[in-house]
Amino acid sequence: MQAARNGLKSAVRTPGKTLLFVLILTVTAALLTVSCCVFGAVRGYLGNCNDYFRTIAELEYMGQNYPDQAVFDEGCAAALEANRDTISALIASDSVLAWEPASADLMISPLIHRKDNTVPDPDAAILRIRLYNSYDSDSFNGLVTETLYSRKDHTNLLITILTPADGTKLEVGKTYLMAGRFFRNIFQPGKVSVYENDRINDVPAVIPDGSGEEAEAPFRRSAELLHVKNDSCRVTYTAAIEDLYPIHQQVMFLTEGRFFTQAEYDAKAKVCVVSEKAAGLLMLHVGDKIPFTVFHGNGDLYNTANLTETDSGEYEIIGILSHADAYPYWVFLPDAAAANAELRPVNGYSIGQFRLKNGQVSAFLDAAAPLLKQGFRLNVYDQGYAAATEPMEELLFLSVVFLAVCLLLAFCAMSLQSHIFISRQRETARTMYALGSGKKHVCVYFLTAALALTLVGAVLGAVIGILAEDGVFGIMRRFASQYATQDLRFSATRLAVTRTLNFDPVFSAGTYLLAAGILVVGTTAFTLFFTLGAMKKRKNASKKKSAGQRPHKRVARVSRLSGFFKYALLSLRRSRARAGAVLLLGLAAALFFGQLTASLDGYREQLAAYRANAALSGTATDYYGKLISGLNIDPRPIVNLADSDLVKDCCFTTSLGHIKVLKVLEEGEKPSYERFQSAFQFDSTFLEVNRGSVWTGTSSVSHNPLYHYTQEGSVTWLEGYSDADFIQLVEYEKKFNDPFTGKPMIEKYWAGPSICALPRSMMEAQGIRLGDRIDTLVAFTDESADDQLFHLVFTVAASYEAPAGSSAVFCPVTFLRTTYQDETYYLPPDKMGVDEDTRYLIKKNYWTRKELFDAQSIGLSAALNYSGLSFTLTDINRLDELRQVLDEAGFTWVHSGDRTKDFAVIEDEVYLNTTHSMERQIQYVSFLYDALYLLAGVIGFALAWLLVLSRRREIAVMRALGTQPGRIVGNFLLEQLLLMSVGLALGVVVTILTGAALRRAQLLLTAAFLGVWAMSALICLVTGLHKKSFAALTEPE
Amino acid sequence: MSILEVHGVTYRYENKYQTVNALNGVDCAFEEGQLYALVGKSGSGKSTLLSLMAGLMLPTEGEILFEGKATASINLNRYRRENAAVIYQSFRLLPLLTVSENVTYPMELRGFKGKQAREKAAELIARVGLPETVLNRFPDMLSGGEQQRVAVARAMSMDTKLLLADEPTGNLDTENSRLIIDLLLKLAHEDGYCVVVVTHDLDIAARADRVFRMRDGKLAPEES
Repeated sequence: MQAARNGLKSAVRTPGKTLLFVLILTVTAALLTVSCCVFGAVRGYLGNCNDYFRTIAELEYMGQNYPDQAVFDEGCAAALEANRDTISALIASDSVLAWEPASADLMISPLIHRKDNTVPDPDAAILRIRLYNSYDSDSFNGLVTETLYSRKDHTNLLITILTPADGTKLEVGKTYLMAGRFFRNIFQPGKVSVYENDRINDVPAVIPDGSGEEAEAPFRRSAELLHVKNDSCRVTYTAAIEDLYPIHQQVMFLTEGRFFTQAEYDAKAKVCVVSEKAAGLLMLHVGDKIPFTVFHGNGDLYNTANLTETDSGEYEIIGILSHADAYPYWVFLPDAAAANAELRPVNGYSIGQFRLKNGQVSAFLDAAAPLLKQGFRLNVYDQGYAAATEPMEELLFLSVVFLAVCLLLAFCAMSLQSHIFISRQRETARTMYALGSGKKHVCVYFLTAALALTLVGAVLGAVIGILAEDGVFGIMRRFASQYATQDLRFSATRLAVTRTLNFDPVFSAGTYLLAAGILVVGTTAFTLFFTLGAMKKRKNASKKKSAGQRPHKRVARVSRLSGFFKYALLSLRRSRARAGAVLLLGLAAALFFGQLTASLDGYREQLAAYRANAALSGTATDYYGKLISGLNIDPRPIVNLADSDLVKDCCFTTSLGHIKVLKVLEEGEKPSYERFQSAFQFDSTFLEVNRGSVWTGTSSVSHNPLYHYTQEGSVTWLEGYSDADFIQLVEYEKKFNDPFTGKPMIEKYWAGPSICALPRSMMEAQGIRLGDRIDTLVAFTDESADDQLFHLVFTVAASYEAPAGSSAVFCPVTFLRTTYQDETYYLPPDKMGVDEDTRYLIKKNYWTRKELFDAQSIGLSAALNYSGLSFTLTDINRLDELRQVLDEAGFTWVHSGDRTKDFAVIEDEVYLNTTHSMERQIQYVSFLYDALYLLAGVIGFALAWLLVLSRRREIAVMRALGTQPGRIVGNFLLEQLLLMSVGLALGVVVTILTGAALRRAQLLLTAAFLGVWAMSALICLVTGLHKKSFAALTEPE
Repeated sequence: MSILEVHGVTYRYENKYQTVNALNGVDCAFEEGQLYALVGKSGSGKSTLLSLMAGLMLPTEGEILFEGKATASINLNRYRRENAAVIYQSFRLLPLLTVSENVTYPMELRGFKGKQAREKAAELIARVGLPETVLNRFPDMLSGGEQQRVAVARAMSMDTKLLLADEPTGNLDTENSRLIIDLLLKLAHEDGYCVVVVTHDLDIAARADRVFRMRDGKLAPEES
């Protein structure tokens, strides 16, 4: 205690030094605190990202019936059986967190499907009918005497029927069992009409009554099957509804509902989540109950033999899903055991889904590679995890650098402070030791004082840290918020982050304790080290002296050096440790500057590249007008814009619809065109294709607006035809006379081979190679707003590196220009169909001059079909001018997402947001780097000062010997300059050797560091030459 | 004739708390060929007087005349380089220079270079009784006595008439102390140096030609 008290007294009695030490420790503590906070906050944010985003991979089988959700595919069953082990291994792989197989259950309820026509076969019925007269030889009137199956009971209603297609003759007065499609005649209430009297489920259209049970049996089986098909819906058991692929992909949203409690779950409460459409049609609300009978399926669900009833009762609706067009009658039941359900082949193509560890998609795809060659496909979506975390990981790196520099600074500060603290009182330590104080006593004396100063410094530093934290976090919050949207900037991927994830670090006392702990531990260690060293040195020195030992055994060569700078040169040669340390410091400083300037320049270059490649995309799409008129908008303003000097590198684009690549065709193989069995099958397939890849016609893939705002400004071509060739392949000119004026005209036609460019990821996933012919299913909505769904065959002519998550299929298309008199008309390609084998050509996308005028004469602009233009501003500073031109041309600034508006022209919001946020980020990084440069400068200044100061005795001796001050300054300055110059030069050389570009900023900073170093040495030398410097001559060793 | 004269020299150390008169009207004179001992208790001002004579600082009042010229009026650097050689208790050799280079350093300041200086250094090293083998060694390889002899050789290399020694035997054992004092006496009596030694050691004082006793910044009556 006495030692501790004395230690504290010593601190109090030297207020000047104590204040200085407290100041150093306060600054160190503040820096440590802020750096720890920043590091912790960024790490915490990344952890939040991991919790917030989920990566889901849906496993599909690309079978014969793909993408029909209703059909049971035997091939899928066989493939599942053959690959069961592989799938099991994939489920057990490290990158998989959970697996949920697609459910093979059905739910049947008398309420379902009574009021809508989206069921597989809405009008199918099997009726017993007695004919009582005929209109002609093919049309009869009759009475329905029995309804074996129908969604609406037709019994005792009058009916009009037709002779079956197989030609079976019907006779008036007889009763027949009939299968077909019937509807209630709205013009004759109470009467039913048949519109397709044909086979249903392979059941004959008609048999005479009394044909016998054997003949009637197929009708009864068909009635059961229709009951299952039309009155049922799929049931999915799930442990986490938000992980189900459509919800995860945000195709579906839970719009209302109530909390489902653990108690309810434990009690196996009968609850369900239904679609908005079902709830609307059935007029159900959250809290209402639906009677369900649940059947477990084993094989084809629409074969009643495969169904086993597992449960029935009233299920309470606890949630309603919106935007579930593709899944109008999908019921979700909570069941954690679903994850362990047996893997079974099911109707449709979805086998199940994996929940993956974020950031491990590549590893997962590698593990899944064998499956992908067996007809399976994986849809992986990470919700933007990569896009959100990549920039923050970069920030994490910066914060680590910042933390490392702060730790280094703290290390230097603590060691120097302890060294100065002890060395100033070395005699005290020695005296105490010599007077018999134990080591412990001496250490307690110094430790008490040092720790008291440290604690004061840590508390003050923490206060400064708390004050600074808010400001720093404010900057970081703004920084992070830019990534919670679709802002893509420095991300190599283009995953849209549509959710908001706030950067919201919380105050953590642990961080402050950590910083204080580092200080306390560091100060304690250094204080003990130097205290013990002070005592030990004394002991060793006396030992050596008494034993007559000499510390070194080195002999120098005779130096031939002479001249003014001899001393500097000798010192350089002989103080190798010191020289080595300075060289290393110079090397590290140059590399440090190189790294930071490269990083900052990299950001600036990215911004410049982004600006250079910036092409504000335009999509002139008159969706609304087209819906009501069937006409298209006037393309001329777009083309006039393309012709103006405001823009360059124009790329015309046509959104053709959506596409799903089905399979690679063998040589000579033609796609099999299966006729859709029902409207339900068509609709579900259409929606399924619509959910898939975008099918785009373009005059340049690289400049297509779809990939406009990626990091590179365009996609990367990998192999196959070049972008230019890709489009050149399909152009040719045709000369003809204008049909109206007879003047010669030239048209450029797009009539090339059916080629396409696919993203590499798609090719890898589906085993497609360059040159393969692929069978695809395409979906688009024609001018009459009718949904169209066709098979098309393409040859894969090129592949490109798409930003992750994008899978557009590009076909070459160009706008055709026809020059006539003084006006130029731009005509879309005359054929969108791409293969002679296909019957599916868009009928009318060729517009004559007359048609254009006709369109305008009724007040509607003639238009391109779903077309747009991408372009690059010739001068980014002319953006406002471009806006004005577009305004004058009648374009508005409305986003195309709002379909009630006419136009969506230029999307500069992303550009401006991106450039502004990049500028902000550069500003932020620049600020951080400036702070680091300043810190480096302070460290350099301090070290140079200390280096010269440590040689004050040499300087004093030289002065005492009468050396001219200029000579002393010259020698010491030259030594410092030479050492640091060589060290920095080495750093620059290493920078070059590592292949990094040598940057002007790096050289400037390196030169500035050298200047600071020299300046510090010079000031220390000049100030050290005053008369008091001779005091060093009489100081004890 | 006196080579160095001290006339009414007063020196005050000042800081914001106190002013200390380290020297208070000191008058004395030193001649060539003599060894003078400056003795006195700690704090009596003898080292301050030596520093003033060495040209490390200037007196607050009074003057110090070297060969009749006041040190305040001459270039002190040059004075230290050409007129006053100092030997310190802690030797103060330049650690990065070898023994030879330490000795040649003052010569080089005066324009001697290369072989000529090295030969002179070797000769001086021999004169102070050190073997030739130490020439290319560094100071930290030598014992205290050897280092002090190198310091004497360095002082001799300055080719001055005035040789000042501040506690030259303070860090040495008896044998080495005796050797150093013999050396200094020899320099005074045989080579004609004016040697001024600040010391506590009464044995050294006893061997000096003259002894100046200092007390409270003043010279006590002279003894011979």
